[in-house]
Amino acid sequence: MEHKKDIGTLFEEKLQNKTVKPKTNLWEKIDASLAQREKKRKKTYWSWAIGIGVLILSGIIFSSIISENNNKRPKQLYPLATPIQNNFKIDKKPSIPKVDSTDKERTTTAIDTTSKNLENLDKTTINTLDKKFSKSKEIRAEKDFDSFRKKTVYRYYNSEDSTTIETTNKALIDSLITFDKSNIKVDSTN
Amino acid sequence: MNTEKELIERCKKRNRAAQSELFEKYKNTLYFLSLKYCRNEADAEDNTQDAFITIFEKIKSYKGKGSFEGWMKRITIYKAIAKYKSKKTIAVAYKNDLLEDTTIEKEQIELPLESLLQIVQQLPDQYRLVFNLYQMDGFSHKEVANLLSISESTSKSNYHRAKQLLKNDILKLKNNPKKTNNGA
Repeated sequence: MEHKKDIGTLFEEKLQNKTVKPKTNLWEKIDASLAQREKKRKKTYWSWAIGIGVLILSGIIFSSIISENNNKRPKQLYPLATPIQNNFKIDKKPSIPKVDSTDKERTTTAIDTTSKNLENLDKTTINTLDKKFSKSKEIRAEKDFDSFRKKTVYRYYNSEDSTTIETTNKALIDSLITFDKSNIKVDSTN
Repeated sequence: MNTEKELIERCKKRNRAAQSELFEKYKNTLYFLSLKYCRNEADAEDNTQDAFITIFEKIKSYKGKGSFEGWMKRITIYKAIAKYKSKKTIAVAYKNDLLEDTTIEKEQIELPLESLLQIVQQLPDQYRLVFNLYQMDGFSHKEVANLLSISESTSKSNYHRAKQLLKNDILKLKNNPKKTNNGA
């Protein structure tokens, strides 16, 4: 009797669960190859580590340079305005024309009074300004901004003694005018 | 005595002694598998070597799902396929005198293992791969087609042709035991 079977199935049955020992020593080759790969891997790890280290180091150096530069730079963007102490000038040595003694006395008194008034005003203004400018940096910055604003300068010229007063304080000029008027009144009575 | 799980864990840590132990344990199985898929012993040895290196390199990706031996066998098979794909040049010439019937008497295949392996190795590359994948290792024709980048019908046809060639060679060997013929 013939027992025919599919050749594929027969091969499968014959070759299933079989093993064959390799003729050459494969492990030696595998071991050598693994060692080489290990070496390569270590090399790669080191180069990565060195690369990262260099990056970190250069980052630290760069940031320290930046911070150093920042410290050297002035902290204020705008220069601080100096307190307005010399906003008005007093010509202390005016060229006084030659006059008679009564005129001279009158003029001297007028100058003295004006000078005293000015000194008083001067002191109060300076004190107030000093207080203001000794405040915080923010206020200073605001003052800087104010320095860009338009300022009106008032000039007072005394034709009698050729004295010139230059100021931004309008109140001072007003007081001088009042003072002059009183003088005129005195003159008219005389 | 180490269990396989422990051995795998040690191999994951790249322990060379464990790797050697694993190699000794599976070298014959994987070498025999390579013999079926490759053209000759030298190719099979190269394939086994490449497969073991890949196994040791990729062992961390083995998460314990499925059999470890199966995982290693798949790597060995994929290595053989990759080798075949890298030097794919074949246009198989068919013999007209091939037998249509692919059945054979059981007694006729009673040959030494070496001879049977030689007959399989002498199949044209694509036929050999299709026959082994489908018949020996249980891949479907769809899977074979995907693996070898061929169509499903080509896989079926190659499988049938492979069996015809095997039958031809078996019969020739029976008639003339000193000579084998690959039929292509």
